[in-house]
Amino acid sequence: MAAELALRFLIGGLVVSAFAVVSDVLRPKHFSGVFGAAPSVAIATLGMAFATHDGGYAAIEGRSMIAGGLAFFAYALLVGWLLLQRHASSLAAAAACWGVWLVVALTIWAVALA
Amino acid sequence: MSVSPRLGADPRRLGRTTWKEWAIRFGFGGAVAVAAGLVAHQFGPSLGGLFLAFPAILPASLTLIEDHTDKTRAAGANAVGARAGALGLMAFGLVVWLSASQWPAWLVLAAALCAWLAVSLATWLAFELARRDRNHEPAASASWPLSKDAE
Repeated sequence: MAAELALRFLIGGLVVSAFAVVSDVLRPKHFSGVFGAAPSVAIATLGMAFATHDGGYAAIEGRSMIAGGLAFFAYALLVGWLLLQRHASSLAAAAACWGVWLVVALTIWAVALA
Repeated sequence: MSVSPRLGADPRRLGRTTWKEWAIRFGFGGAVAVAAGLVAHQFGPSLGGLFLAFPAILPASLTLIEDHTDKTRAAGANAVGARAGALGLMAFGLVVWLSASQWPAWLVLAAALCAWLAVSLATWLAFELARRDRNHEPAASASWPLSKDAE
């Protein structure tokens, strides 16, 4: 279990960093933002899911990811509004909206997938 | 038709990122991947799958943009662009859901990544054209309504 977690940490860190590089170098910022929502955690996690479970396990994770993506849309909408309209600081807006992501994702999951 | 004449890449921006910032990104990405695995292990893949679309890159990018350019508006523009990528994440999940039981892992991930890219770029283009239409900007000469340094 510890070895699997360590490998998961390594792959997750590498994939997130790789997409962050792409997001950093692209311009303008409203275009590079697309890569701020890259499937970095999904690639790392699903790669491990395929290695340790069967395809059916990954399929279930993929179905729930649709709800997570919708929650991400709400997250990006709210963070953009806070920064552009309310002039909030990036760190405060991004961190506060994690809670919104969690609430939206769990609500969709409870209503449609549980 | 030129949709955005200033689309491009600037590798020099990588030089502005410090090792500490890279370490934070790496550590955060790894931590989210571990958390997603632990949730799936504890509560099953249905709940764990939600975290496959957790905002992991965007918060770090927003903070770095603000630190390096002192421009909250540029960070806001980055978040606006992420809306398109979020819809792409839904397409990624849909492809995985429909194909993971039948296709080999590499093909599932490759097809899902292509779906994410196609949907994200098409959505970004649609948002951009709609925004310009709203602002009555001609496509070839239009520019994002942010100051140049906000890019």
